[in-house]
Amino acid sequence: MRSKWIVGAVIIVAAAILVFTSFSRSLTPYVSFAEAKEADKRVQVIGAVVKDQVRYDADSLRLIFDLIDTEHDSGSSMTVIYSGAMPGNFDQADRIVCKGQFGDGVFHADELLLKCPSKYEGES
Amino acid sequence: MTFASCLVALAGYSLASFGKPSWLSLGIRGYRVFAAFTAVISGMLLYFILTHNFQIEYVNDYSSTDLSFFLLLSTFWAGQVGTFLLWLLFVAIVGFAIYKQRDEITPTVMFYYLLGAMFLMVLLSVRSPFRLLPIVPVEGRGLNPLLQNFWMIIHPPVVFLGFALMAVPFAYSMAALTKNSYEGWASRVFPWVLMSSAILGLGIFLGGYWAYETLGWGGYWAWDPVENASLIPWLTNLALLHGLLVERRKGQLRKTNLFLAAIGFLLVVYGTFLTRSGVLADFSVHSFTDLGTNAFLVFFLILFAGLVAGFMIYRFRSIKTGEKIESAWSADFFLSLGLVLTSLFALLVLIGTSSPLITRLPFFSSTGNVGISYYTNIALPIGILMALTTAVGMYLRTKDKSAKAILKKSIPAFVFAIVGAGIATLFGLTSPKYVILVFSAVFVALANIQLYAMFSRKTGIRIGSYVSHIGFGIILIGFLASGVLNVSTKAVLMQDEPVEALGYELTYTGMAGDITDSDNAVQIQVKDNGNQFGANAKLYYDSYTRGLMREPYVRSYLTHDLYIAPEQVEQVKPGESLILARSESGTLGEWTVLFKEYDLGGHGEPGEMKVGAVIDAYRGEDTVTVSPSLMVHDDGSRSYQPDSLGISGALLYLDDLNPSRRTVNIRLAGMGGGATERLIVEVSKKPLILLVWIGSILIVAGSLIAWYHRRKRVFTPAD
Repeated sequence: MRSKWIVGAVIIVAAAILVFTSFSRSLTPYVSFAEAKEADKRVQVIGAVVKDQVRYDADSLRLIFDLIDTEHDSGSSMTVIYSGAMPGNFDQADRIVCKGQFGDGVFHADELLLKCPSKYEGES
Repeated sequence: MTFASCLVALAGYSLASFGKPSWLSLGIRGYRVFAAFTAVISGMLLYFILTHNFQIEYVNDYSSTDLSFFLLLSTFWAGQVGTFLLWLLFVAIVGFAIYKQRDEITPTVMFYYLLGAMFLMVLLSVRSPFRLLPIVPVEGRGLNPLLQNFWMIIHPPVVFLGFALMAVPFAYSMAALTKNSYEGWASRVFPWVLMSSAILGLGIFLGGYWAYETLGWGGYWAWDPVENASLIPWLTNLALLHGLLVERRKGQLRKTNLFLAAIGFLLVVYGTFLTRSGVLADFSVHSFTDLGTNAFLVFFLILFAGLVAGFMIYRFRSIKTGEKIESAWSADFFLSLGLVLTSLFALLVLIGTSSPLITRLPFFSSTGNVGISYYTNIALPIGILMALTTAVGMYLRTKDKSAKAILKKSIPAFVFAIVGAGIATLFGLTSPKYVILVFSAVFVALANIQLYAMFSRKTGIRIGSYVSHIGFGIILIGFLASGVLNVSTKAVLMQDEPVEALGYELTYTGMAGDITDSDNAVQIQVKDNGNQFGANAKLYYDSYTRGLMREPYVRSYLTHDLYIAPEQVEQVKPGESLILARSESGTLGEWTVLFKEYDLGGHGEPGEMKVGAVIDAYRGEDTVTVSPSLMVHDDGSRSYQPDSLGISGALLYLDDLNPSRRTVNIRLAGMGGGATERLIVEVSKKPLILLVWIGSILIVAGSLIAWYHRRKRVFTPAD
């Protein structure tokens, strides 16, 4: 019986440590553009893509687009450089969530989440 | 009407279950009427969809006359309200398998089961699928092209059937708690747990395959709230399945099992709340927006949680459990350990999925969301422990349980697992955590193969559990290889120029049709060690969503998948170009050019608009006046008509114009200076992804086989 409790306690303590570190390390706060420009860590912002300004940097093949803050201080915008794969439904998105870090005057995104217009409720 | 009949059934069953058996027939009749009405309502919606009755708002929102029969059928569940109705329909159908049993507990089971139906019915009455539009549109708005594929037809029904089945263990648990009678509840509920595991598991895997194969997300699982919302209850159900194995024999873990059975459905409701209420609107790819059902979702969530918590606390002392598990070196102990690990994983995924809500608490400075690394960090150690626990636990089901005997039995699997881990390091999985995971995964798969082959006749364990466990080992390897060893690169493919990427030679040969055709694809010729094939990836401009639609090209090999995801097609224009305002001049090569005026006189073909620019060009003594033009067709596409600058072969193109700024973009190019295309693709090699699908199929198949062997218990009284 004692071994059962020991095993249980070990699992719980290990799990708690694992969760706490994982949780706090991968937690990306959700901020306004102004805050994103000040932040010194990974954050996420939400905004609308300026549709006809989406372009590729020919050399590095990174996607570059302008994002307008739709939530906090509307009207403020910033340039986003995204280095990952382009999601298949990129053009369908109303607003997108960009995770990354601001630096050198642009927002370097490493993860995009696409917000589809609500009338197209995705199902998968 | 359905609402009323369900209320009647509910009342009948509740009275019958509390000592008034004469009311039972009212409950039964009420249920039958409820089921019939649900079928009629579903049939009506289907009828309106198939007959294109666009005055019905729901029909108008999701379907159109150009859809094929099966896609039209799938628009039934294209929207939020439709999915609730589909769910309700499955609840009604599944109920038939429960209500026929004539034992004491069944009326109470049906009462709680129909409480789940009430939940859906309230949501449906708040937001009816039959809302009418003030006008009758001629054509519906159509189905989002992202949903127009085979998986849309099959995936949602399977998931919602799974959700409907999850209400059954909840009902059995609550009925047992209400009646304070637990004898035989485990055997009664066991086939249902197997079935719901199989169906919900199948739904989850189909969704993953859909995401991988058509949506071009690059992967099969993104830890999105909607995906997690079905994974969490599936995990608690899996924990319950193993807990029941312990309870069935000796009555242990009874409280745990009652709790797990009840909470599974609660988690389904919570998942529905998370994904349908809009609370995660900023954090999910495909959460649904609020339709005014929030208050009811919260109400039912609190009601169900209150019921579960209340009864668990009230009955806690009176639940008789078996004697304690005798030792830590027993199959029962390892089953319990597996249960703890699975529940723990479910809890951690739940915490991660709820992180946007948790971080709203004053304790956190700003709301946020955990990234994928959170989930993968916890999945890895738990996966290792689960695999090892499963393997040892299965060995402990054999007759001679001494450590020595088991060590001896496990030698072959152990040796091969070390070999497997060694092979994995050769492919770059050198990090100790990956090596240990490969070892554990191979070990659990081989242990189960060996145990089935050598000992299953003695232990009496049927093939189902072995199949699922082998699938578990295989899927772990698939997850690891396809996740960690995935290589990808972006490639720029100039038309007709071969490019090397990841050992393949890719040549973009142009588009199959026009970019506005919904079956347009970019055509790529791929050479792979002398083997040549065409890779067509769908890419078209969808006028409905006003954006490019992309679908990846996937070619499966035994060892890996080649995955080509198109990103962008661009026109490349050779030569020098210049933007000029009216009466402005500039230099293009050896020429000085002056933009004099627009030439709007030239009428194009019907269905196109032609604009020209009158330009004077000077070179030394030469002076030429040219008029290149640009045609804009009705479908938005363009074509160009350059003008020649004389014998030198130089052509002047009008590439674009800006009416508001009154400027033109002109370009000087040699012969054949028309635009060519360049395609940007992401090419990836995803190793051993086949193992993910094989593992998934085995896990589901194992659960179904186990259900098949135990299904008869559904109809027999308590044992």
